[in-house]
Amino acid sequence: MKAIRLSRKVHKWFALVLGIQLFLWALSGFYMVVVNIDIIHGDMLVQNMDRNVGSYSQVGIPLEQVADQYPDSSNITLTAVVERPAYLIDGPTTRLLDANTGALMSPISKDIAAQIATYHYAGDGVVSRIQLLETDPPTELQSTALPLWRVDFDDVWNSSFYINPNTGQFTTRRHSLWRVFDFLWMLHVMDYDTRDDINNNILRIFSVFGTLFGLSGVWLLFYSFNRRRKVGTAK
Amino acid sequence: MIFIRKLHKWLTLLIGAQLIVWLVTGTIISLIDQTEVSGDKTRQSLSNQKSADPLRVFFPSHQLSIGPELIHSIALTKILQRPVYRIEQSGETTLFDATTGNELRIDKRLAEAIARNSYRGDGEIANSELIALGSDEVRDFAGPIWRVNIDDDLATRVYVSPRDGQVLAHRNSRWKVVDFLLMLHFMDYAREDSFNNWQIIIVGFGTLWIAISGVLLVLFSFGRSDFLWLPGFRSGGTKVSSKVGSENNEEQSYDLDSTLSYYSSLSQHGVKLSSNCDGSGSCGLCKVQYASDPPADTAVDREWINAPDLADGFRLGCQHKPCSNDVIVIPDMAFQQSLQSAAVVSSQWLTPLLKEICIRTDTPIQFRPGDHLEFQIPSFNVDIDQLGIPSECVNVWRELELSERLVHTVTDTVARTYSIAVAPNGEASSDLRFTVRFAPPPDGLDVQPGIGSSYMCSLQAGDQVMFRGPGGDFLLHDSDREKILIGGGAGMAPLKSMAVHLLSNLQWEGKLRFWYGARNQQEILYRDSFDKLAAEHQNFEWQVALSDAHDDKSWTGKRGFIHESIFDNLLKHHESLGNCEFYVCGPPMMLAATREMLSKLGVAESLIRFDDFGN
Ligand SMILES: Cc1cc2nc3c(=O)[nH]c(=O)nc-3n(C[C@H](O)[C@H](O)[C@H](O)COP(=O)(O)OP(=O)(O)OC[C@H]3O[C@@H](n4cnc5c(N)ncnc54)[C@H](O)[C@@H]3O)c2cc1C
Ligand code: FES
Repeated sequence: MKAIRLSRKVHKWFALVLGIQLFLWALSGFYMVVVNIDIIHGDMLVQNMDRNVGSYSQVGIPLEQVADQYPDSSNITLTAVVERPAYLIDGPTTRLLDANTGALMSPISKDIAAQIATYHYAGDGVVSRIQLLETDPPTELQSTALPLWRVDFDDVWNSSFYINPNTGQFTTRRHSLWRVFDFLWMLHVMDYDTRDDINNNILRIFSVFGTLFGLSGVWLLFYSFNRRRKVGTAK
Repeated sequence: MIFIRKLHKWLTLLIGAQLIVWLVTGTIISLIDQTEVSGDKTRQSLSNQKSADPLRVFFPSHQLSIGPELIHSIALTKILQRPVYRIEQSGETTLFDATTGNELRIDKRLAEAIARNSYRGDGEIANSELIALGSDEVRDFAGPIWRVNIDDDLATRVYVSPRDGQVLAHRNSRWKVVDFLLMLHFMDYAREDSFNNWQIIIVGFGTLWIAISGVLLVLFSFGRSDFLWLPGFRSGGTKVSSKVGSENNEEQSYDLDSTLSYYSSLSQHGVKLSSNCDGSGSCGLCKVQYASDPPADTAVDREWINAPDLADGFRLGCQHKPCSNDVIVIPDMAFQQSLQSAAVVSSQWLTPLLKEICIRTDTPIQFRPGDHLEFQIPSFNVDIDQLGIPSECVNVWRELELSERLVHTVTDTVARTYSIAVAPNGEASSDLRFTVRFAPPPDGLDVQPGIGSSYMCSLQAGDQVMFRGPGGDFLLHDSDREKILIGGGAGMAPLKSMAVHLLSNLQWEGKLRFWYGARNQQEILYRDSFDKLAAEHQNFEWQVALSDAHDDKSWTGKRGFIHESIFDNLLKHHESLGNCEFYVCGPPMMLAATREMLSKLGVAESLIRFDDFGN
């Protein structure tokens, strides 16, 4: 068989076997580069992300008093939850404390979760559903630890804000474009399980053969553009 | 399909290098162990770093010297074992020792201790330095940064923030490699840690089209024949036995694939029916004759084969599939497996788009007037400039707006038939002549000009050509009837052979008319020699009708389309139409119009013979 026909054959058969994945690589890759990552992150959906404690001298309970009260804590942070100063206490158990009254705020209630979510929400929807997730994390939460309040908004993005009930912190947000991104990312790295293992064997095998395929394309390209004998020149 | 293939090919030429970069970098990144790259293998998890000691405070937080800026958070935390206050203000982080209330600075010793605490590999700290300008290994952290080097195999370095003692990153030589690969993969040459840059969007868009066109190409480029190696396909009981005979040869039996046409299944056995259209039903060359029980004729059959021949069992080989026990007869030429060769003696443009090519065959061949040869079309690559176009025709060519080169790369055998434009001389002859019309792309279509005609028109004296044949069924009846030849364009070739044969070789005395259609005077072929023939032979009438010469005052002959002209001036009041034979040859429009005109006149189909040149 002539080399060109062989190269065409090789390229064609590779394409049949790898075709779907190559197509998915191109498609998912294109989505990921075209839709700006800030949009994927949902930057347009949030506001008030600079927490602000205000003046420390006005805070009712000083840090060291909290440290005395919870001696097993490893880390105590004065932060703001919806503009109210609050202590976030890390330790064997995580707690949230009202920094003015010392009252225990955690675990925060459904209403507070909604308040926190709405405070940070910059879209034009309203809360449509609130749900406490304790087991079975949805795919879109992967590695994030539960429990979490899920606050859904009825906007075009199908935004969901996740609030940690123990810390009152706005943990993360998801929306349609993020979900599409995540799905395409899964197709891109071929980890259909946790979606984050780029060392999986399926990907390794497909990318090695994909590369061979690409090289077969170069081979073919070489033939299809190769300048041939000039027929017009005599002798 | 051609467009899709072109798109695929050219886009790949344009951005293929990046495709390879993506594939190669993607592969390597996937092969390198991510936990090594991230440094997680030798990094202490945060929970393991925490000491169990309670947070004991001696210095009251209210007495800390906190600046006036807005406070984001105040934390009581531990650095190594030591309790510290961490104050975060707009853009500024300050640490205070919670025991003494003094501001705590992350000095070399502390940075190393923090790094050591975060590392759990088998290396030791080799050295450390404060990099004043920040590190390009931790690009999202601006300003001075501690770099603590560890002497393990991967040359791990731990980056510690001098502002608050946080471990910012573990880096190592693997990371460096992957970081570089990612830069290539994301086309992030500006190192913005982003894959939303315009260059990748453009290339990504192109790639998407390569992928879409690629999928289409795959869908279309696989046929049954690609799967014959599968046992299921082979023994699928699709083989039937057909007897195939040639006009002269003996019959031979073939096991043919009954899912393919005769044209395709025979070619798997090396028996190649002539075709200019690769079996797509648009050239009419692949005729076969069923000895008995021909299948029902299709519309495509009827387009190319006249009623008497259909009744005789002629069908198009590309339109019918073998059935068991078929017996068919095919032209001798189909059995010719080896090609003959000839040398080009000369070539010359007769009209702006029509070239005469004279060849000398290595061995003389015997042919009949109206016969053609089938030329093998090899790869070629030739400048339009090299076609030897006379300067007075350059305008015509310029209007075609062709690209500068004619290129063809052989992927499958391509052959084209061209009629012999000289009369046989009784014996076999070597000197043959062809008139080939260059086939430009159809109006408005961005496609290649015809490959066969491009090749033929590029031939120059000394070139070698390969061919099969002769063959054909456009032949003169052996009769005394009046013969009327109607031709247009390159359709001149077989008609000329016939006319010259009748008049000069046979000294035939019956009435012979040759009506030839052209657009303008420039396009009239062999005008002088036919004028001369007409002067020498009383029984020969030579008429030309011009269809596109309204402004040409010097033309005194007939005007209009050839089929209209011959109808108005001759056939309408011809007294013995029933005693005329017609030989029609030319481009499809002219042919169709002429055949329709003849059928309206009531001329019997058995008295009309034609060759359709296509295009
Ligand atoms: C019995 C017989 C005798 C013949 N004798 C002669 C002869 O003496 N002289 C002569 O000049 N011709 C003759 N022909 C015609 C000749 O065989 C060729 O068919 C003709 O030269 C055109 O072939 P090509 O390879 O140049 O064009 P092709 O490559 O077959 O293309 C045909 C046309 O299609 C166009 N095209 C290309 N790609 C596309 C696309 N993707 N979509 C749409 N259009 C496209 C081309 O531009 C061209 O105009 C004869 C034909 C027959 C059947
Ligand atoms: S091969 Fe052209 S019509 Fe059959």
